[in-house]
Amino acid sequence: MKHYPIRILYQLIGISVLFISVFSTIAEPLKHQVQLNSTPNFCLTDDQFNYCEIDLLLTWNLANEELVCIISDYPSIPRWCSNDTSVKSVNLTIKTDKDIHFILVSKHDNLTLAGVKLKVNKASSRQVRRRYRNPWSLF
Amino acid sequence: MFKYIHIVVFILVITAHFSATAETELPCLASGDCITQGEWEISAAIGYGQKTNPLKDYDDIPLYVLPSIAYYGEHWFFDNGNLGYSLQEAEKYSLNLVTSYSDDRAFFYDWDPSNIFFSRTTADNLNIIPMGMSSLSRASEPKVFNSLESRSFTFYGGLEAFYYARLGFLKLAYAHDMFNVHNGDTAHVSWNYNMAVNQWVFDLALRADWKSAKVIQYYYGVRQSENSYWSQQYQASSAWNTGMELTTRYIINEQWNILMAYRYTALSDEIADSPLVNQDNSQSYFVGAAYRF
Repeated sequence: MKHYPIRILYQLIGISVLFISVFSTIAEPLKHQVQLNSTPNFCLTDDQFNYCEIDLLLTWNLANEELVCIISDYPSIPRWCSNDTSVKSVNLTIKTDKDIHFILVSKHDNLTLAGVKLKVNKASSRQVRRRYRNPWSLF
Repeated sequence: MFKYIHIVVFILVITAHFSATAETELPCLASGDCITQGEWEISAAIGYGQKTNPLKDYDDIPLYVLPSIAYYGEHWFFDNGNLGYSLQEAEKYSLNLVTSYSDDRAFFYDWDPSNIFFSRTTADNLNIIPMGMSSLSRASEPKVFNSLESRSFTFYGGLEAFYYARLGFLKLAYAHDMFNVHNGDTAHVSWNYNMAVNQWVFDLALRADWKSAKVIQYYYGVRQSENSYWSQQYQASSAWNTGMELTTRYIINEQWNILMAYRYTALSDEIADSPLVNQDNSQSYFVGAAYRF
């Protein structure tokens, strides 16, 4: 009887360890179950034109089969929605001069599921540096 | 040996210091100061010019073609025969490790990198009279020299620093003979100012070049086989050459410039006193049309 509190303490510790290990293993796949990917996820502008034009493939993975929508801050595609739960990707032709943020939301309740950003990088223009000799120093 | 260890330590300390304080922005001061990184810049000027030769019995050097070849990478650069590595580049200063070559040898050889020219008489059996000496005092002195021995080409390696200000830029450089040809040292100080007025671009430089005794003795000293008397009599010490140069360009378009250049170098007394030399200065000029490829 006198060891009863200690036994309870051991049981609590055991239960805690069990909960922590179970939830940690469950939480890990949940965190990665909803993903929105962009291929490619960046594009380069060139010297001649200050924008980039690419064909973009957005793909997603969901924990549950559901209809989704993609919203973005890209004016030409304010909102795109799927009509079939088996659809897991969409092709977009993008012409932009700045980053675009795409967000995957649930079609029926607009819950945000995932997001991805298309980065637009300026192609480095020709760099100049100091010339350390008079061009006619051989003279 | 310890001297070079000190130099290396000094470079590393300076580099470390500048690394901590350097700014990454490298604004160019004016057009013509800059070059596109990663691209060869090749130009050639065709015209006529002349470089006076202070060596006794050596002809002045005609100039017909001047090349200008440069390539600048992110840190490395090649500019008209000079190879360099930029340790630091900032708005107000730059620090480079660099190779260079002597302009002294150009007086002796046609195809020295400092020269682009096509004719010159060689001087076997020179009738050399040292300048600054009366004929009476030279009565017993031999005037005839045998063929001069070769003066070998060498590269110097060293450090150069630039400080940029509103009224031009200051250049300081120090270099040592890398190939043990004469084991000499050189130093350079110059103030450079450039100005653009409409289509005209003016580059002015006031310069002073220090040469160690080994450099002067190697090029302007007399070898035993050349003249045993003067090989004993003339012993050089270190000295400064001073001078100025003005390069003027008239920009016709991106490809074509009219080029006019003048350089005056006052030879140090140590060099002018050499029995091989009969002028105390060297002047160069060139007028031509320059084309950028």
